[in-house]
Amino acid sequence: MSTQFTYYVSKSFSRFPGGRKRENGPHSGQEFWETVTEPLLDKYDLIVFDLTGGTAYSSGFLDEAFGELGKVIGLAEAKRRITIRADDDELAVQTAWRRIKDAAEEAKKQ
Amino acid sequence: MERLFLLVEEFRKAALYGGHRRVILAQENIREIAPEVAIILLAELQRCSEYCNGRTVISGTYPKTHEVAELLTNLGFYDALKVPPPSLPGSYDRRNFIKVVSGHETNSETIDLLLSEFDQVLRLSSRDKKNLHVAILECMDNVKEHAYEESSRDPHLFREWWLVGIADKVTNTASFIFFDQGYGIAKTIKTFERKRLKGSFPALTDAGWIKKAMTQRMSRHVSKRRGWGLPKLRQFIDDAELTGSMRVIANRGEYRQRSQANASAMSFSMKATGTMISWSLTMPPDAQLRLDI
Repeated sequence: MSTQFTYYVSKSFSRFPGGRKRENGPHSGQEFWETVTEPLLDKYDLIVFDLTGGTAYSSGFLDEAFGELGKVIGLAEAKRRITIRADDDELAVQTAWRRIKDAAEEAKKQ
Repeated sequence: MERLFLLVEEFRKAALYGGHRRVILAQENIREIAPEVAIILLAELQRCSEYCNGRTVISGTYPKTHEVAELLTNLGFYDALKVPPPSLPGSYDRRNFIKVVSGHETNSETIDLLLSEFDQVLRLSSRDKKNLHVAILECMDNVKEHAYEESSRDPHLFREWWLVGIADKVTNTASFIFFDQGYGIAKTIKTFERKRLKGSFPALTDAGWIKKAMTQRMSRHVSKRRGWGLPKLRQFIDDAELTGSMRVIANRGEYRQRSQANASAMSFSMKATGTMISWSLTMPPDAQLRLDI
């Protein structure tokens, strides 16, 4: 497994991230999870997701794109492996981490 | 608003079920019309035109008031009627800058295009613009996932939404209106809350349900990860750098929220069509809207 990779969402995915599910429209959170987050998890140990430049991030997009991390690798491992940053949208970063935390808590209860 | 609900219902009944050869929307006596009302009428006109199947011809008369004619023309009302817009005198001083889009999916680029049209008209801070963009995205996702029932045989323009931006020179306000013709937020929430809460289902008015949805997480899913979208609609007004207000009308209720003020809710005896959400921002006196672009 390679060590570190930085993924620039607005350059490599879209400047216009959409809604939650693929069927809702283009550039959805589900599409991001399936085509970006999950494959990167398999390939790299440390991943930086740079959200800078995205026009706006909906709560559904952030949950689908990043929330699953809490379920799949757990909060502690997510904190070790994942960095999410956005120079222009601190709220999106906070929301993504909240959803990761929620997913991790829910996975523990199951 | 109740007179509007009645008008929309009567128009729909006449156009779709009345068996008339022609239904005329008489506009000559409309002295003023709010953009929210105009978009509800436009959407109803488009729905009825789609479902008339040539049995009934929908036509209309022109308003005598220039401002009404300007608003309806810019909204695309006469395009929907397939008639030329009324002519305005050359000396008429334009009051509004209006852009309207409609669609049936969550599309961030569409929102960006519409909001960018207003860059020269009003100066929204990048934070306000981003928060408004998020609020509209949440509305679109909500329509896609909850507003219309797939199994319904009602005459819906399935999953359709309308988004309007209006800058009004006279009131020095900018408004953004999002509308869908679905079952209404209050009804949707009541349906899944009834299933979830069973015996402890609270006795709330539709306005009360809308207020609850705007102020706390609500979802048909048990997961804490779901249901954060609707509070974002209010968050835009709460955090806006400009003074503003938000209004949600659905089913038999209305919810209003002003910047740094308590929310208010009111009930209607008649049922509204769909859900209408609007945000209105008042420009500071030293930042007059520019419509000369």
